[in-house]
Amino acid sequence: MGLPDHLTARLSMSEQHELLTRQRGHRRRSVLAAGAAVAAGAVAAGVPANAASATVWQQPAKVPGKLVVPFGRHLAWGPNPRSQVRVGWQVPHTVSRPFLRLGDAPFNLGHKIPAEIRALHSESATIHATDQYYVHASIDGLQPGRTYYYAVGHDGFDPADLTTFGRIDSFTTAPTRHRVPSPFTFTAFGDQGVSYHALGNDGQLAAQDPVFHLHAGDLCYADSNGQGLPADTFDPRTWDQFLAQTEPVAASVPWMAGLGNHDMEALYSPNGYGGQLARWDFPDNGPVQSEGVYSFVYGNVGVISLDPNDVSFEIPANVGYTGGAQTKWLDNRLKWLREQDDVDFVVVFFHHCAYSTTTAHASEGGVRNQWVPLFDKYGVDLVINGHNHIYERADTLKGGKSKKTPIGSTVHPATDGTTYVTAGAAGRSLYAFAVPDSYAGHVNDVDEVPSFVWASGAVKVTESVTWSRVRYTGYSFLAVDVKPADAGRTTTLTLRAVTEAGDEIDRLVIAREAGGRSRSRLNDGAA
Amino acid sequence: MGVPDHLAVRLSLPEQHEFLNRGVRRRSLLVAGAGGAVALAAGAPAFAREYLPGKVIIPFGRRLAWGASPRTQIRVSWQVPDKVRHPYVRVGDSPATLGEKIYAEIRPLHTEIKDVIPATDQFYVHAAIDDLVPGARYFYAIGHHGYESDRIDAFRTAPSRRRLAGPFTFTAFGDQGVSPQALHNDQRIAAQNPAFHLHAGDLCYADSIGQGKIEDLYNPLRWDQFADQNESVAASVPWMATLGNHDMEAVYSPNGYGGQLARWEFPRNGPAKAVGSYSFIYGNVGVVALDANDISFEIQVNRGYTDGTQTRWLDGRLKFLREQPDVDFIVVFFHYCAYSTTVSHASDGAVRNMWVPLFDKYDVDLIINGHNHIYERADTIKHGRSKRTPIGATVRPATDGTTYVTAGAGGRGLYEFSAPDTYAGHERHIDAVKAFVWNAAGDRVKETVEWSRVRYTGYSFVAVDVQPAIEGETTTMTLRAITEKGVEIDRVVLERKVTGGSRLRLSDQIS
Repeated sequence: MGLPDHLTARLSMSEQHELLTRQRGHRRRSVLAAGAAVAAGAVAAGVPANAASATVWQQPAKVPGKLVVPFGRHLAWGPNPRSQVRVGWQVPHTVSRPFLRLGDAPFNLGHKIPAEIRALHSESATIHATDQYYVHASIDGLQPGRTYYYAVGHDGFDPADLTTFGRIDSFTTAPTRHRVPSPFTFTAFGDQGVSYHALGNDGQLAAQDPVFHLHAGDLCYADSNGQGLPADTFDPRTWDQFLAQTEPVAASVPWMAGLGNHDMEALYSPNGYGGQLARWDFPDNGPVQSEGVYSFVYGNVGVISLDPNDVSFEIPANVGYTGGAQTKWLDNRLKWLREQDDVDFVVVFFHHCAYSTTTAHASEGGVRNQWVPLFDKYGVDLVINGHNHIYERADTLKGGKSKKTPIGSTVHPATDGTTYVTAGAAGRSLYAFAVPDSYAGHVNDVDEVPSFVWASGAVKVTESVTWSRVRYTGYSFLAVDVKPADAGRTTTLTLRAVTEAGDEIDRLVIAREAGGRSRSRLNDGAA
Repeated sequence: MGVPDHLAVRLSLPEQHEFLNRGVRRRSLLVAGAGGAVALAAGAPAFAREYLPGKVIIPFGRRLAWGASPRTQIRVSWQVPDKVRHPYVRVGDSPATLGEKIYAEIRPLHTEIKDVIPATDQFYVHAAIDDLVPGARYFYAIGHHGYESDRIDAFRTAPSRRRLAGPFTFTAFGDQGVSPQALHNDQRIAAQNPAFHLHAGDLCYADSIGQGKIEDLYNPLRWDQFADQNESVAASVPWMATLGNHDMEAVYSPNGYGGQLARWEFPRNGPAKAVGSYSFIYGNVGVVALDANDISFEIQVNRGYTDGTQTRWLDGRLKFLREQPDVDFIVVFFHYCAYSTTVSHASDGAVRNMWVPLFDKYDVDLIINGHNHIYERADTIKHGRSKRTPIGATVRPATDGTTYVTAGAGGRGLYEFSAPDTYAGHERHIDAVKAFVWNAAGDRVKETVEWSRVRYTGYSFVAVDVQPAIEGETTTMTLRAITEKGVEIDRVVLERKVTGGSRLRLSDQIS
């Protein structure tokens, strides 16, 4: 973003933002008045445009609502997926009174819910002034396990009026906690970007008919260097392409994003996340200091999203930004999930890898030091990472000891340990392993794999590992089939790694005895 | 595509295709024993694989096109990531009453060049919907064995020829590719609520060199992104494509158009030998699409492939359109420019030699070209003489001549003018602009022109608002040039007195 390297090395995210916006102020030869620097920061942070901050940049002339066509619809769960869904979309111009229409049938979209506009202004020495308008509607008070239909609009563009037929999409809320849910599938990947491989993976994952999708960060690669530094090349318009690419899936499948190193965009305060806050509605039940950290319960699975930029040794731009609050929250949340009578499995996803062996990023010591002990403590079943652009599955690990887990095994997590998967081949160009690939139909076990782990000071510490069980260098994602069961019976999570061509290259079953004996006392209204 | 330069120079496209597929043919013949490189390149390996369950194959890239009669015929095309059984479309006049399945055709496209392009199979699906009612709104959903899409889209047929059409808008651009700017232009186009969209060629840039040569860099998967990018508009707005130089893809026979024939369903009423050459009537406007690769002096690989039949057909078709009592305006679109002044491609002498005389002969109202990645409008020109036509002017084509527009800033990297930009709010008149025109030898011949009236170096497209009128009244076609940000940078009004004649005997079926 146009600052010399020697100025930017080792600056924190907020210092870099300060530097960027200050330089911008100089370049513009004092914008209008004294409060400009502060106001510019607020605007760049994507704070919902109010009258005061909107005057900082020149607004495009108001375009009639009927000429503004929404795009890039993306759903997310609220903190409670049984009753809350968030719908985000984008408009190429600002609009008046955006809204969402909701109903229980495509032709009964009577219920109108007002939406919020989050304007995002991007401008620096190397970025042309770009205004993007993200819109978010919160739907609360839904019934569990029900299908709803929705369409979006604004003044002058009402999808309920057939003369301006807009598209109608649907979603289905999570099942009630009072009964044993039906089987369901969810999907996951990381490191996507905009490419025909990314598009191909989207198509294949839609074909899994998932109830939600987990995105383990490095969403769009608008910041193509990914160091979280002002010198990174950045093009905010890549996000338009990303949301357009994602819409065919995310308009009906909650698309649960986590944040990777490429998602720290130094241009936007706070912590390089101002743009993400404009684009995404994360379930806001994580620690207040963090972004993209949240948790939800769907069926008998508890899911947690973490922000490992907070703990990374490799890319330290945001290290420690939550002041330890995230890790404390994780401890509490895992404890809480394990106390829930209806939660059998706990799945945690985040960007940097606990266990991977590529020659590019390999494993992150910050994750092993701070979070793996908690995964052991609470018997977390499955950890999904990205960052390394390959598919890799480790043997189950517990207390640093691995147990050989071939393709097709059944894992009992309470005794065997946690399954760690790297699913970072969503679309961005692939990485390499030091040893040959090994996957279904092409098993090539290697007992000693040379690798490394990042330590304090971004130092690579070499290690030789035995746990690298499945390696596949190709575009792919993870599908997880969940089969709930009556209390006392065996419930399973079946992991399938699927390539962009639809071939299965890994499979593993994680089995537990189902709980839920006192599920009638649970509350669907609580998150 | 992996052939040394010295071999590729001056080979025609069929010769290059032959060369490229020699390796594939030899190998495949051993396995399959099928005949002909063309058939093999068109999908033999795909048929060898088993079908996946229909429910795991999700269609994408929906796009509409008119049939030869836009009043009664529409073509729905889409793509599936793997082969499917019995693909279909269901159509109805309300979303709740979609009718019987109309079965569609699958056109598999296999792409492979040893050590250059890994084997790639793409599956294009095309459904022909006929016997529709003019001027009616329809809804449709697509599916195949084991799957029906939840998504419902809508389209509207062209108005009946027997009554006066209501006002409508159509849009046009060329040289799009896959980019944020291409996406923004699509969004602006959707906002115009157009009755149809004209794409003046250089559609996708999967062939990024665009010389129609073997060594051009080519990636077939780029077409998947292209189809996905445009679906938001093209699923409900007929997206009428024609072919530019980048659309000649040497890997596919015939004439580098084998891939296009799999991807697109063009109205099939042009000359038999040509691809992407067709015509239709919408309201009081007759539209003609041409394949200028057939005549270009600049890029000659397909030059003469229709043996002159396209130009003869153009003559006959323009004559036919001028005889129709309901057709007031004629719009012709194709890739290479008759009149442009960028420093890159400028004007093509072949278009001026072969087609411009016909545009003069039949008083064609508007020509829309691409190829030069800018917006440019010439003064009206008739028999080589231009008449100054400032922004906001009203043009009477019968006396003033034809309006030539270059709308090639659809999304691909921009070109430059030798003279400064001049457009609404930033006018800078220059009487003599340096430019050049390609001659038959493929050389640039310098010229100094006075007709370059509007120049804009920025992503943009053209919207044309048509206001039909009753006999004896004045009908207008308002040309607006719009940037990717939605700002209007040019406007000119073309008007004609409606001569009319009896509409009662006109058929809505015949094109």
